[in-house]
Amino acid sequence: MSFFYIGDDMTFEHSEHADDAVLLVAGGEIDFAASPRLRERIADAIDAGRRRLVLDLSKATFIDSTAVGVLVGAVLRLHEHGGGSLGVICAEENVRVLRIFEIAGVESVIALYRSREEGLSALATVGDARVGRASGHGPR
Amino acid sequence: MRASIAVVASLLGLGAPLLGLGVPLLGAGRAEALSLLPDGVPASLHSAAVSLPGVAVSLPSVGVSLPGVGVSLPSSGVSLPSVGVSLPSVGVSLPGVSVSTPEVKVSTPEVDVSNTGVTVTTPEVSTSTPSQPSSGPTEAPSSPGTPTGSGGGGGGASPSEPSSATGDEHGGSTTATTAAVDAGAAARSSPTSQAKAVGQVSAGGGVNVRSPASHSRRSAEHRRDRAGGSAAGTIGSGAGARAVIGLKDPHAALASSEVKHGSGDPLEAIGRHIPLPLPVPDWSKPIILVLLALALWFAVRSRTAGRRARRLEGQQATLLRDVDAMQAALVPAIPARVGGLAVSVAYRPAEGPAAGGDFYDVFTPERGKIAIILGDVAGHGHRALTQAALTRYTLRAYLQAGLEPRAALALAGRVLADRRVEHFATVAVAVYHTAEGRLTFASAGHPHPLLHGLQTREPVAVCASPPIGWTVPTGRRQTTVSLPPGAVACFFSDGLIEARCKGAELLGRERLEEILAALGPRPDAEKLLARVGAAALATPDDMAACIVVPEMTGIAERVHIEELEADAEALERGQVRRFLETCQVLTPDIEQAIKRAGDIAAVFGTAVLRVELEATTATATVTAPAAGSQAEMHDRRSRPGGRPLV
Repeated sequence: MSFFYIGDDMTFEHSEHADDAVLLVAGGEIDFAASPRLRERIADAIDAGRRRLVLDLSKATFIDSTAVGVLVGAVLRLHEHGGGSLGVICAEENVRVLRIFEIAGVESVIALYRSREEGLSALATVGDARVGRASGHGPR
Repeated sequence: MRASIAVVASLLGLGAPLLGLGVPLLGAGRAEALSLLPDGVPASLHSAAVSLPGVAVSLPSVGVSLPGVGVSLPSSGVSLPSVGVSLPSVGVSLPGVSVSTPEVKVSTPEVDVSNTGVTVTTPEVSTSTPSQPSSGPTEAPSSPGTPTGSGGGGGGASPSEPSSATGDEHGGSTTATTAAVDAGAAARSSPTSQAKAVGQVSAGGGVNVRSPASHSRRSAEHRRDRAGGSAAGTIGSGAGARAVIGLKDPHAALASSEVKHGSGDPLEAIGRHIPLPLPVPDWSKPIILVLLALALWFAVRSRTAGRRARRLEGQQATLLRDVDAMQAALVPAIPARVGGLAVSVAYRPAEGPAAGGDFYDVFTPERGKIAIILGDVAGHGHRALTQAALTRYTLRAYLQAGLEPRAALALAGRVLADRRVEHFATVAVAVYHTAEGRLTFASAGHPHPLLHGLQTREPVAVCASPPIGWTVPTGRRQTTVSLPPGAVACFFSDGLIEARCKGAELLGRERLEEILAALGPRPDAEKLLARVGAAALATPDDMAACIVVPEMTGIAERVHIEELEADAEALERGQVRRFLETCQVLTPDIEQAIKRAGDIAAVFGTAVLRVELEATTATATVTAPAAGSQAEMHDRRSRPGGRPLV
């Protein structure tokens, strides 16, 4: 039985931040079984109008390609809703999760923040869509 | 015969009271049974125990009196020429008479009763189900079909409980034949002159007793085929003439059944064709009907189920053949030697619902080149399998056309972009050049191959490209290394490194390297998977491995090249810097390269950074992307264009 949770960062919720930003905290094992809940929670946030999402994965012990796929799907969804951005906070110490992200090559799609401060400061500024240049050939 | 006669005789003695008293005895239980023994009738209760009232008679071998047979014994010269009836065991217990006459085969064509005044007319026993409402002969208030021994006092009030019941174990119905027997004067000892003969012919009873009175309700012809027929009946013919003939049919064993009143007409109808233990009580007839209906229903169901099972088996065989075909499309058989490489491949599907999705291929696009593909489609189900096959064959086509590994990935990433992100594919693609002994590989979201025996540094893993299907550019990274003889390159799917070990740990790349190293110089992919499976507690994902070992013995040059195609974003994010730093490019060169890359990307969209790594130095070259972008048809080096800088 794997352990997984996801929820709003209450500190962030109660602070002065733009309405379209949200900081989600997820922990435990984000694997095949937990992916549906992850997808659901992020979809709820997007449906509620959030366009700049940051997911704090500092407490995640494991993440696999299914969960990575969920995050990329979230980015696509944001794009469908007119743009947005998704970032992930993952400390350097969390080697296991970082490595998965590195192998998956998500950096072109999802911003990787090495610390909570970095993620929060990214939310403070206006984010931009990272998806939409699938066919980047030739000069723009 | 003698014995039976003796038994019969004894029965007679018993029968007398029974019959003499008729119903009253059975029903009410008179105590004066014995006193009613007719004269001349030996009242020997041979192995019969009669307990009155509520007579309980247990006759080891009860003699059954033939319906129409009225025989007066023994003092009378009764010759029963062809009476061969034997009742294995009849137990009569009164009241609530339970007479068990196993099976009686009555074959008494003729009973010559002489000088008794008793005329016996036998042959055609028309049996009537005891359960029939009283009709016909037994006008005595006897319950229908119950063998009534009337004649005894009082007009032969029929017993409330039938006196005898014959149950054919095959469900033969016992019918009571009522036949009126004219007992004749001599047999007139009962008040009534009518001796009712009630015979019960069980199913298959070959009893044909023609009732003179022809009051038979039904004939026993339909039971002619049955072996055993039991005719049980007590003939009441008054006190004088009682004949109880034991009938025995060795072939039939009658199940004892309690004879009770019964008057279910449907059962009568069934009883006509199927022997039923009659009489049966009214309340049990609906139950019997329901049970019969149930049995029929179950029989039908089991038959259709059997047919369906056979049909499904046939379908399963077909499906297994289809699965084999699909398997070959994803994980084909690969010869042990391809070009100048010794190749070993293995595949193991996942335990659990995530099965399916791994694919690989090893082939020769042209002489001197061997191409390797190994990938994994996320998700499961038939859509994932379709994506897997599509990805494999698309990449195979591009490699066959001569594209470099990362060029093939980049083009496939554009062509196979799928908005359904859940079926993205992570792939590793490689081409081995036999002449130079070099392996060029590129990965899209997939773990790099394990490399042993390299004479150069570990390949650089940073700035990996994303999987195919995310609608983002991929095929941006590529590595070229020399594979000297004895080196090992192991391509694998992430199911291996994500195998679950104890302590909620994953196997990990390091452990996998250890396992591979332990396999020796010519590792076998099957063994690798087996050892991973043994080392892990669970393998929730597919596992695929492709191990290649070069066979050429020529001295290979030591080459190590890392390549990154970067756009403006990658430059912004610091990816380019990280890449160059990991390659151990000197810092001043890094700055220069970044600046140069920025300039080129601003014009061409992307810039290609190429680093040649040697023992102590790393040289970076920044060029514009090839014309037509990733559609390179020949080796980059020989292509004109692209000015090396720095």
